[in-house]
Amino acid sequence: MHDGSGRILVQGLSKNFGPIDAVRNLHFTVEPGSVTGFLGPNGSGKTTTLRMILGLIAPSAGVATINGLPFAQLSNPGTVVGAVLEAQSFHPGRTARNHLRSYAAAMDVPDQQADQVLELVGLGSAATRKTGGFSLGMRQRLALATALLGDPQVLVLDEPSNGLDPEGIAWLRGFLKSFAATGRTVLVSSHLLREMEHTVDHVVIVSQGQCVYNGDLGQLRSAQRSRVLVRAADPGKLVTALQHSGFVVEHLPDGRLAVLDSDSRTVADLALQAGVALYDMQDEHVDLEQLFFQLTNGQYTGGAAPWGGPGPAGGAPPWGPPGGGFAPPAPQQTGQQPHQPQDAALWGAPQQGHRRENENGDSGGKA
Amino acid sequence: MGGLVKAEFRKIFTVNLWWALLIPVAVLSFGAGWIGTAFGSIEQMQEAAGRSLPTGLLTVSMSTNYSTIFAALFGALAVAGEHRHKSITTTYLTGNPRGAVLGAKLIAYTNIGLLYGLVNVLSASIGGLLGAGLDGFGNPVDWFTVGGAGLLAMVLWTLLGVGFGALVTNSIVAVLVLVAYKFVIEFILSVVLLGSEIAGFVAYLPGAASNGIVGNLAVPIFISAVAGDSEPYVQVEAFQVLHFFFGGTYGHPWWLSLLTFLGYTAAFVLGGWLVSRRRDIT
Repeated sequence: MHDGSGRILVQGLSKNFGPIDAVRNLHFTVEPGSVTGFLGPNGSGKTTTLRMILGLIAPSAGVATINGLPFAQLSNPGTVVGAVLEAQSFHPGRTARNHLRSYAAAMDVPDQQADQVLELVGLGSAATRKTGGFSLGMRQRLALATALLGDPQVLVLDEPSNGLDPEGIAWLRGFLKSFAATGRTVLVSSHLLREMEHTVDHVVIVSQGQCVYNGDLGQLRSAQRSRVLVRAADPGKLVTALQHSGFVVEHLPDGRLAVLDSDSRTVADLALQAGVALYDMQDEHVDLEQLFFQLTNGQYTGGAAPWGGPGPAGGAPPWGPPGGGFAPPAPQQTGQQPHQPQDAALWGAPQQGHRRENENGDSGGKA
Repeated sequence: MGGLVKAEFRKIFTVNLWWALLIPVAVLSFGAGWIGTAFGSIEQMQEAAGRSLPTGLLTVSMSTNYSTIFAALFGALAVAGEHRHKSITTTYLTGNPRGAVLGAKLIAYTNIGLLYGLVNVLSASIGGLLGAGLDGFGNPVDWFTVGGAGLLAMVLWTLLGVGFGALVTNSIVAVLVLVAYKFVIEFILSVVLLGSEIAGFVAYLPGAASNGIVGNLAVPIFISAVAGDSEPYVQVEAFQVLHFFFGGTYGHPWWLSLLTFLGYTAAFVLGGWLVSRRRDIT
């Protein structure tokens, strides 16, 4: 019997299709009571991971459990977890109601439940229509109705807003939030962080089949720090002055200084007071979307991602938070490029970020 | 499990396929029963024999041998159709383990196979009644025996179809292979085999085995009804001609045909189960 926790646990999950590693040693936990976003570019292994969690694809290694059990061991799984997946469809000649009643029978839930979920997703008037004539949006709603049919504790959705109109997307967001607010679990995948920004509380970001961030969205957001890049005639003197005023300063390889949590005006004023000439100043901001892009853009560049992950034992970047932040894995061990601190800055920010448990002892150098 | 079986029945009866494939069964069986018994030469045989002949039994055998293909196609789409329409994901998400889903389908489709079998036997019998009258059926025990064998053959073909569909999952491939095998491949195979040293193996091919379930009952019953006490003196050729048209193999017991075809059915069901258990649904 499952433990009823509503928790999804993914441990060391890997899947290779022939020579292609779709998912590599993935670890994360999805807790009930909140909406967890599962983010990554197309082809990053999201769908494969969700299908492994749901027992549709057999992992090459590792396990995924729902309520403490692998999917295959859940009895009457439709009442534990509901799922809306891509490439999941209906017989075109069957009406929406008959489709739902068929699966209501499979789950041993009353037939009235079929009409209730149809009303819930706004398809009440289309109940007796054959699904072959449904629009993409209607199909998506019917898929959600099917997922909700067994009144499950856990909801897994793969790119659910595909095909939905803006109104439908807004409705879905509200629905997922209220579903999670009842103490149930929602795991929803997307390739757009912006789309999920207002829905999710927690994010798992994958790239190239590996987890690159697992933590609170608020903490990720706090990584949107600004810094000032400055070229000074006498860097040493300026650093002293800046540090005296409580700023964290980093030396960039090109000889410039990066001043965290500052702006050009403050730095200029301090430089003037210290009597240091400035040749070049630049304000730098990183927004959430950019952050997401940077976290995941290693995927198509062929080589290693430009940032290196600090090992699990810490080694926080110089401007990292006291807590050390989370440790990203090194996406690839081979051919690692020299680390660029401005990228490392993206990593250092979250104050209490979840440290991704890095299983590989050899997980790369420090930033 | 009861819920899963109920779900399969609902899936079957909420789309048109079950009756769309049942219509040709009814039409073909009726036609075979009527035309087969009303055939002129049979009347002459009756006159020559000086009594009525149970030709209705032969045509039930013949109609069964042809209409089983529709049951097989219907069965094949049980799993392959779900792959085609991508509803297999939902089916596996709501039924655990996958073997239970296949088991539920086998139970539900056994009932549909019985329905197809009943429609076939009844249609062929009504056709036979029109063509030959009540005399065309011999004694009622014989009719029940042949009809029962017809039901059995139909159910087994349905189940073989379910297993085969689960094995290949591609509905187009499943349908084409079944039809091609039944009407072309086995014919070529048996012609080749008949000219070889292992000609006796022909009776063990799937199509011949299934035809033999009914044919190896109906033909001997017919012969014994025709020949009466002189049955031992009936020429082998007479049997062989009748078997050629109405199914079965001379000297091959019907139960051996049944066991053989049961083996094929079990092999496909087992294969379908083993493969679908581990298959990745992407």
